[in-house]
Amino acid sequence: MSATNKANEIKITRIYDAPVAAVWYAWTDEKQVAQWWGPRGFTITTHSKDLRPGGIWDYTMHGPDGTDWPNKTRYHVVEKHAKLVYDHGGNDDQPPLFKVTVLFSETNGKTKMDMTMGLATPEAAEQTRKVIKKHGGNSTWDRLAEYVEKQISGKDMFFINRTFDAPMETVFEMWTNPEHFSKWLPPTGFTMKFLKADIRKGGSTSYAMSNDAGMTMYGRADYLDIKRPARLVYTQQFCDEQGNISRHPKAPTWPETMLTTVTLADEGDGQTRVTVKWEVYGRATPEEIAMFSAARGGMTQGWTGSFDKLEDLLAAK
Amino acid sequence: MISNLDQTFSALADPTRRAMIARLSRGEADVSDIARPFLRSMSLPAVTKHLKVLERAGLITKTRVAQRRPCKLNAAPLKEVEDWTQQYRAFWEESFDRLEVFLKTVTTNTTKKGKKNVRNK
Repeated sequence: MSATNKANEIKITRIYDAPVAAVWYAWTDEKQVAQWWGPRGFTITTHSKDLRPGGIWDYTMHGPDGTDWPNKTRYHVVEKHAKLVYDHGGNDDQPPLFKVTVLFSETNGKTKMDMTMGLATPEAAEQTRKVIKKHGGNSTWDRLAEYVEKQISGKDMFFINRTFDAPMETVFEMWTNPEHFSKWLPPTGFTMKFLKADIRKGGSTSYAMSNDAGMTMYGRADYLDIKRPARLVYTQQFCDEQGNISRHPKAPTWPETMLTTVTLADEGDGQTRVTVKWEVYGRATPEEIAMFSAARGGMTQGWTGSFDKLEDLLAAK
Repeated sequence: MISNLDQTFSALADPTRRAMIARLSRGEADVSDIARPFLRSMSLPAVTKHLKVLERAGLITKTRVAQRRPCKLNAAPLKEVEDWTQQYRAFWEESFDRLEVFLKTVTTNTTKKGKKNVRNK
């Protein structure tokens, strides 16, 4: 994979655990695309969608703050299960912001999506990168992962991807060396201290997370799988100081056990893409699953309506 | 302060009740208006039961105005849910931001990128 980026291009690669037909369908069917298109917290309304070269997808994006963004996407290339080329960001009042080329390919039942956004100048590309970051634009591709997982396995999951400017070994070390791990992982305002750290397949860790207000939460992790430097699978639970499984002190319906799967992939140029998949592990009550779905901001059916309305309501307070 | 979060979540864990919340987010409504869309698939007592759950969780308030019994949405518990979910939604993003910064210090310490180990500190 030669990810030697041209300065005026933005590239995004994702692997989806689904056949290309499913990913293509999620992209092109207007009912399906409404379930995941846009950053977390956004919803869309499609007015019309004409999927063929020269055809237009006319839709409105509704931002979490109530702002509506009209969009008219014009398709240039439509090759079923293989390729889409379209203009993005244009509407009746403004020309498109950039041209997007998306390539789909399937290997061993997984689909690789290679996306290139082409801008007029490197400066415009830099500007667009900032805008995407600000609006959490890349979470769109995580929502797509969540959506196809839900279609295929019926499970609610949370996905997040980030590309780091460091080789795989270095990034892997960040997850498996307790000293490094504790520096960046804990929630804002918390420090993390390992009481026990045996990070290997079949091993486990226990740790304490404390904040300035004197709150301390204890937790443990059990490592189900570790493949250096590409994969880590562990379960996580809250516990008391003695290591007995407990619940989150402030949210007893937060699921008891969460499963985290971390996948690392070389993106070329010394860069590493990290994919975190987060899901409820073992048996969980409907309340626990609802809590998890809400927390991931995945906009699963049912939440969508109430939450975008809620935002207005809260803003009006 | 987040003590009722659980109750709020169990109240919201049901699609009928979420639909009722969505209806009320458009403005107050009488019990009969809220009930109407559900009466094809459930009895009036069942609808009332759902409303009671929402009321107990503090999500809605029922009042009485002459013959009418309007319900209105109470946003406070939803705000708590929103704050809580915001925190979780942000968790990985923020951790990754820290990791990005931390990696910079690590990679500059170890001469050049491409060189692997950072274990030797």
